[in-house]
Amino acid sequence: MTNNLIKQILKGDARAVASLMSLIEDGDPKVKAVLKAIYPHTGRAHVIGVTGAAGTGKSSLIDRMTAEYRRRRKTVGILAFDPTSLFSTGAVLGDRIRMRDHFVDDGVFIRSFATRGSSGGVSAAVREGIHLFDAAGKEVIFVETIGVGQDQLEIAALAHMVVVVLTPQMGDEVQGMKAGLAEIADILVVNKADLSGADETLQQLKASFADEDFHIVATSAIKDQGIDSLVACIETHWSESLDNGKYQRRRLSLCRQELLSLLREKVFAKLAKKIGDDSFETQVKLIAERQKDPYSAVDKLAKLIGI
Amino acid sequence: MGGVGILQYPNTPSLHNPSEKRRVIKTRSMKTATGKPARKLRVLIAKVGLDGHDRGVKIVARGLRDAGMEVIYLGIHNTPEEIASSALQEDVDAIGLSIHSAAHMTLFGEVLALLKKNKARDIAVFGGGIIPQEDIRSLKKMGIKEIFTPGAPLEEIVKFVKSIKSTRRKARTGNSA
Ligand SMILES: Nc1nc2c(ncn2[C@@H]2O[C@H](COP(=O)(O)OP(=O)(O)O)[C@@H](O)[C@H]2O)c(=O)[nH]1
Ligand SMILES: [Mg+2]
Repeated sequence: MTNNLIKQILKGDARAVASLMSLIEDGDPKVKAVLKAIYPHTGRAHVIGVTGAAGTGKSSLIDRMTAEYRRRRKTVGILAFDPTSLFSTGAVLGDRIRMRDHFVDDGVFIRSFATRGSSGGVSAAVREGIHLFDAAGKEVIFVETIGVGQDQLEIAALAHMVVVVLTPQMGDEVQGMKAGLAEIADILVVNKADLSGADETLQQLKASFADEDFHIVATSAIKDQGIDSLVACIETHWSESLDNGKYQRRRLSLCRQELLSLLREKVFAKLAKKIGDDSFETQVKLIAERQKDPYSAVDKLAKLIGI
Repeated sequence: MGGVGILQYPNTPSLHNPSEKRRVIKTRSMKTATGKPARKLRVLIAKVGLDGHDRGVKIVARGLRDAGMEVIYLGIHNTPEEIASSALQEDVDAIGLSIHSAAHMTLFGEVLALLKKNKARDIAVFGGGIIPQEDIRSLKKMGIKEIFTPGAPLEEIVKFVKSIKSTRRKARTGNSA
């Protein structure tokens, strides 16, 4: 059964990809066996993170960029994340609705995810989802996530390059975000350039980031303007990175982060089992009653496992 | 709650779940009131046909979200092909369609036929619209699970969708991997 699933995935079969995506989403432990088998077929895709505040037009931009990549005969996989509701554990996932032009195109696979609360789980799911699309033959993979700055999801640790989407209305806010942007963005997009204030925002950004090495592009997803320049910019950045060694460093860093987080999870699970719930809860209560401080408590727990 | 706040931290497995298997499920999906890990119901909600009002479907989408489901919202003016291929890629458990068109028999029929063609008849299809009783009977015979007519209380729709047994996920976790 698993062998069959693996074969289907490598052929790019939509049903097989969709059902493995669901297992990934549910954190099903069976996924690992499949990932091991498909991993040798990964490493070919170009992974582009698209992030920014809610409503800046990320989904609309991915839709237009996908159209451009399809013109260039590239297949596309899209992983779109929306936050789970704080109140109900449910979610309305509204990214796909912006990508209607690609619903019946076999060369495009769109998958919507809810963040389901835990950012650690999301990061693992994103990585696995990327490997899956990659093995299924998707050449360009977009990962849409919300937020910059205190981003829950470390998009820069998951993608080859990061496009941050801003809008003209955000002129002043951008100053405050400057450090965070410089840290994660490879390309800055001022979307909604059809609205007033776009030129000012663009000039302001160019001035603030004059000494940084990233590109700034203005687009209007709705009017389909500036998309070809944005894609050209992405492609230039990509080939430059391949040439100057940046890509190789990035790739090494992505592998390092994935291995580190898997190791952390595994090692912690093992040690936590040894500590056991009872000793853990006992310490929690002592701390809450101020009979103990957390720093001594952690020493005590570590001692239990000989650390 | 169970007192184990350690569950809340990113990348931090629970102390409560000694087996790897249970731990993973518990840290990534929510617990039901009974304390058993539950897989999320994923539902596609869309409007088919030319009529452009989206108030009703939006209310249903939010109602299902508030009941803890994950709703892929596709808005208005969808074709049966767009519905079916989206449902397949998103691997949903159910599709809810609002159809205010005289062509409801054809449109529902096309969606069912496309699912069948893709071996996905296990996705439950339900609908809403101004549909005469006799057509409702025929639609149910065709395989539409339920039809809600205008004025149906939201709670009733939520209750119905919750009752859909997620045969897809079960099949998958049972033997497909
Ligand atoms: N005026 C204008 N509106 C846009 C543009 N791009 C997206 N929008 C609108 O902004 C809203 C949010 O778009 P969406 O792509 O869902 O944003 P996301 O939340 O960042 O994914 C929608 O109403 C879009 O129609 C644009 O270039 N110009
Ligand atoms: Mg979006």
